[in-house]
Amino acid sequence: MQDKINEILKSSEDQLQEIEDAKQLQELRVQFLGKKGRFTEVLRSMGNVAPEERPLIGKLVNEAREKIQKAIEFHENRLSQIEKEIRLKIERVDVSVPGKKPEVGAVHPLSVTTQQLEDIFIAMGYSIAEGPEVELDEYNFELLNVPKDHTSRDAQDSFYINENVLLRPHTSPVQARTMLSQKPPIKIVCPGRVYRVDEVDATHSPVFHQLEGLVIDKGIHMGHLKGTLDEFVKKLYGENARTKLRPSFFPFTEPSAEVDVSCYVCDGKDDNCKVCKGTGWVEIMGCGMVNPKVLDGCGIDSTVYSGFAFGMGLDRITVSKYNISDLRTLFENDLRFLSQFLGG
Amino acid sequence: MLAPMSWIKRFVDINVDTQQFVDDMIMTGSEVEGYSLQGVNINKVVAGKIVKLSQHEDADKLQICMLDIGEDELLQVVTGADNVFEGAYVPVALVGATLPNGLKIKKGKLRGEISNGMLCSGGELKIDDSVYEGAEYDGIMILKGDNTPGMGIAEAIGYNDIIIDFKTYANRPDTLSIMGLARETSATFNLPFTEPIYTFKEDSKKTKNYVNVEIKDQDLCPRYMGKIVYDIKIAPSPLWMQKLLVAAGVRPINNIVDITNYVMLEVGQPMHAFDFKYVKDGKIIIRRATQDEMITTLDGNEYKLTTSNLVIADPEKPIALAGVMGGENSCIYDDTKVILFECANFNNYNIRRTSRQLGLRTESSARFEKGIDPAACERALDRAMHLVEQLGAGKIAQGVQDVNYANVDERVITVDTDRINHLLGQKLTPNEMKDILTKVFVSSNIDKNMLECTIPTYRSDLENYADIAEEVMRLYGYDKISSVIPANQIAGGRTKKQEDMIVLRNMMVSMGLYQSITYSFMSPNDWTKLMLNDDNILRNAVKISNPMGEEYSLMRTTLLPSMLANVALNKNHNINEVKLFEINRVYKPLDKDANHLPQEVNTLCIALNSKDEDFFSLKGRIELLLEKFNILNAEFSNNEIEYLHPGRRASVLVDDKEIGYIGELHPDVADNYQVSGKTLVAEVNVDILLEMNPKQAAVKPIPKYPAIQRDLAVLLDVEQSAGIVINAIKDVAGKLLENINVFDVYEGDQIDEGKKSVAFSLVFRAHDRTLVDDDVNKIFSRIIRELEKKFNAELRM
Repeated sequence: MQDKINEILKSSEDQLQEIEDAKQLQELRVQFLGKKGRFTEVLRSMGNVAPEERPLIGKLVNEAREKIQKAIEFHENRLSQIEKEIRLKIERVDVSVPGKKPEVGAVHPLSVTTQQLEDIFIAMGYSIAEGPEVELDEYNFELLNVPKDHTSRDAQDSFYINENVLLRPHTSPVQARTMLSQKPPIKIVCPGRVYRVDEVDATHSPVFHQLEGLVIDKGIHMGHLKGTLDEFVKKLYGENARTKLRPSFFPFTEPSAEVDVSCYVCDGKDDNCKVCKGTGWVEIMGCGMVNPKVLDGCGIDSTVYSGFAFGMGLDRITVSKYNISDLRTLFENDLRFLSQFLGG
Repeated sequence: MLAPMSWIKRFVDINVDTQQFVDDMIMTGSEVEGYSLQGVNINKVVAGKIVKLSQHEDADKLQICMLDIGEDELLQVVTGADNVFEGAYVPVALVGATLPNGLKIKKGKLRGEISNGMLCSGGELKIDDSVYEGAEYDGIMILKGDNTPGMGIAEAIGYNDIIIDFKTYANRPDTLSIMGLARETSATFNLPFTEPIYTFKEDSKKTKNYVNVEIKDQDLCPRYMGKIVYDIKIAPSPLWMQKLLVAAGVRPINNIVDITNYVMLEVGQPMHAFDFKYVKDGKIIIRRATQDEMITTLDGNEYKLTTSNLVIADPEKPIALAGVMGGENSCIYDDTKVILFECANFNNYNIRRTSRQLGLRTESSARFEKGIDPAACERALDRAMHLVEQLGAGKIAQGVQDVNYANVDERVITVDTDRINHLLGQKLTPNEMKDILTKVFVSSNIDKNMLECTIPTYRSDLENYADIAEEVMRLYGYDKISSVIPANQIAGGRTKKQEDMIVLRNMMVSMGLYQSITYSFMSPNDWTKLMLNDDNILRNAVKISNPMGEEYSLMRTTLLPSMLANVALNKNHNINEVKLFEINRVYKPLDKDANHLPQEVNTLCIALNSKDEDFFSLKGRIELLLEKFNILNAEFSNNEIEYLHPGRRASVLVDDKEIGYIGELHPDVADNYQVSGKTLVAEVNVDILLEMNPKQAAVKPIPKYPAIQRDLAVLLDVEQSAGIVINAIKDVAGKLLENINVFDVYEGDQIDEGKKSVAFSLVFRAHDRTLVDDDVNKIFSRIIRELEKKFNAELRM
């Protein structure tokens, strides 16, 4: 009986040496350890064994089974290791094949610019103010030192609903509304949609977008305006960006200035630069110290408070940032354009 | 305005490079659009003297000219012109020149004779009589007097002025004149400004014996000066005057008209000349027009006036539209003998309104509407009379009819220099300020820190310390403004709603949609295209009174039309997957009250046009969006929206409040907007959505025990809404039902007519133990009983 067991054991060891794949190993497992396996045969023939020897034989069978079981496990591991190695050898991808992209949309570039500018000013302590686009003449013009029939209205040819109501041609009425409803210190930017009678072409649009800023507090002077703008252009165009103020006129401010920024494309190094036309400077906004007449008109004592305001075109900044040659592109929403921007 | 440099130089002795001039003027506050050099397009054309002229041997009509062009050797040119002669100075286009008409000059041979250039006519150089007398002659242009051979032709004929194009700021009407610009030049370059004193001799007759002036509306005409000139000789004005007028962009007419235009350009004060014989009874009345009064202006157009328009009239009829244009019935002809020169001041607002109302803008109205110094009338009239005398245009009558209600005194304002320094962030002394102000002809007295400033009459814009501060700063130099970050510490940032608007936008993007931005307008035509019922509220739109065409005549009440235009555009470009959203305002009129502004509602619009999208993929996005804003109880119910597919449209309701709609675009509407393929659309009122603002529920712990998932397929009546069935299941199942969804709806083969098969997937879980099949089986049979009872459902196996 013992011999028989040893023989089976020996036979299993021999066969295991020749096993080449998992299937053979499984067959071997059935052959030796299965219900109809060779040990079962042995155990069936226990009847022939003396009763006092039976426990010993039983023990031997179990030990042998365990031994084979371990050997099989060993070979299982060996085979799966081999299999893995083979798999790693044959599995290959062509890494140059384009990837599969999940579906994401895109924020419109004009929105990207607006948020970027808002964030710059928020970091400087500004809040975002909003107001109606269909606006009263009073907020839009009269409180901003532009009386009815005054020629300074010519600069903003407006769409009218009736004599007193119009589509705002600038976001300035938001400033008037803020001054009327809020006590200084005031520190706001107002981004928004504005309207002017302008035929649609590559550089004009009857609908466009502005961002204006207003700061009112005690002791605010023109140096603060310049400092704020310097900080802003550095954040927008990089650390080397500088500003230049030129005298100008806006009814809302006195003194007033146009702001040029050092050319963000060539930094004044390219005489043929298309953006600055070789001057090294690009006009980006208007600004000035809030006219005392406007402060007083909006209920803020101009002998106590002073302030500055500035305003810029978001569409213009967007087209120049992305080198878009035609303003109309922004409002056509051609997916061949929009899909060049990704995500939020 | 176009300002010839030579004209400015009559008042200021300025001699700098043009670019430098422009740059410096800009930095002191002039706006320059650009500048040009006259004759700049005439290159390589020089003055040449014909030294020898001989007949071409082989051609009767050709002559050979030997020309002195200032070089060692004479230049041979063959010409076909017959007006040339030995000793004449002519324009010679050299080889390599390109004439203004595009002709390129090459070396050539004419019948065997070499020709090294071409003699030019005025026409070929695009020069006419107003630039050089005789230039329009049909033949070679012959230069007058002695010339320097070889000198560029533009210089030789004095066609080399530099023209600066200045833009005028609304607060500086005084710079809409050569003298105003010359004053700015003087201030900028610190050079003296010299205004000549204009004298003239008056003849025997008296103005007051000819004309009487009466102002009926002093508010609209504060001043009117009239002066008679008689024995008029109408003739062309002299070349120097014509040249300056042309350079400034004004067409020369005759000596009298040219004088009025010349004075207007130089002084900034528009003038008018009436043929006095048409002024009935010698009586000038300045009055408002009567309602529907007609006038024909000298450009031949007829206008119907209202009582808000001001006219110059005689006792019978209007003879000029005040400040805008003269009447045809009193204009100057060649036979004019007596003239009334008008030099008046009109209310700027009124002129602007009239000019806009009639659509008639002139050089005159452009000046009056900005506001003109009433004191300029005298200066202008003196200048005009001086020119009348200089040009020998007529005899000047004595005296002037001057009706003056205007204040022509210089104003004095007192400003605090400390306050100016505070505003500018500077530390200028009162003396420094005083010196700077002298440059702009503001004289001042210092009293401690106060400056008492005397303001020239033409500077109506200088009213307070801020105005004076700007004068000081622009001449001191804007480049000297320091750069300081304001110290005030205010916590800024976005409001919750402003943040949420960004979250909403980014949520849309993360769901694969592209943001679009469109104009805020719509057309009444859209009502038809959307098939709106007559009483649909979307028809109630804010109307623009001066729109750019009907297409843009209304403020939109829905974002859908522009969205559909976007979809159509993209589909036309063969883009198969169009997934767009826009977040913008719609405008809802509140009532008819003129001063009541419309409600502006932030609205989200979505359009999906793609094979992989259907009603439910749109609905799923809306559901996700609502979940993002913690709205978990939204309901979708059928609605009656005209522009949606009748079987695939729903309103989105939250707490019984309608916040939007979703649906498939009606095929007829799709056709109307030329959109191909199925389009799913939605609009959501973002303001209501964000204002609901429910709190986010506390985070649920991650389940400890496994779930059991079961499917349930039942046959229901076709009309039975699955949403109600789901609610019934939830009620029966109780807390253990964690989630329920519909994964299949089927009608057709193997299903009885009038029935549909709906397959639900249910997930059960307990939070305190592992569920066993028995738990779920019990619930499941309860559900089935309920569905059988309530919905006559039949279990499918």
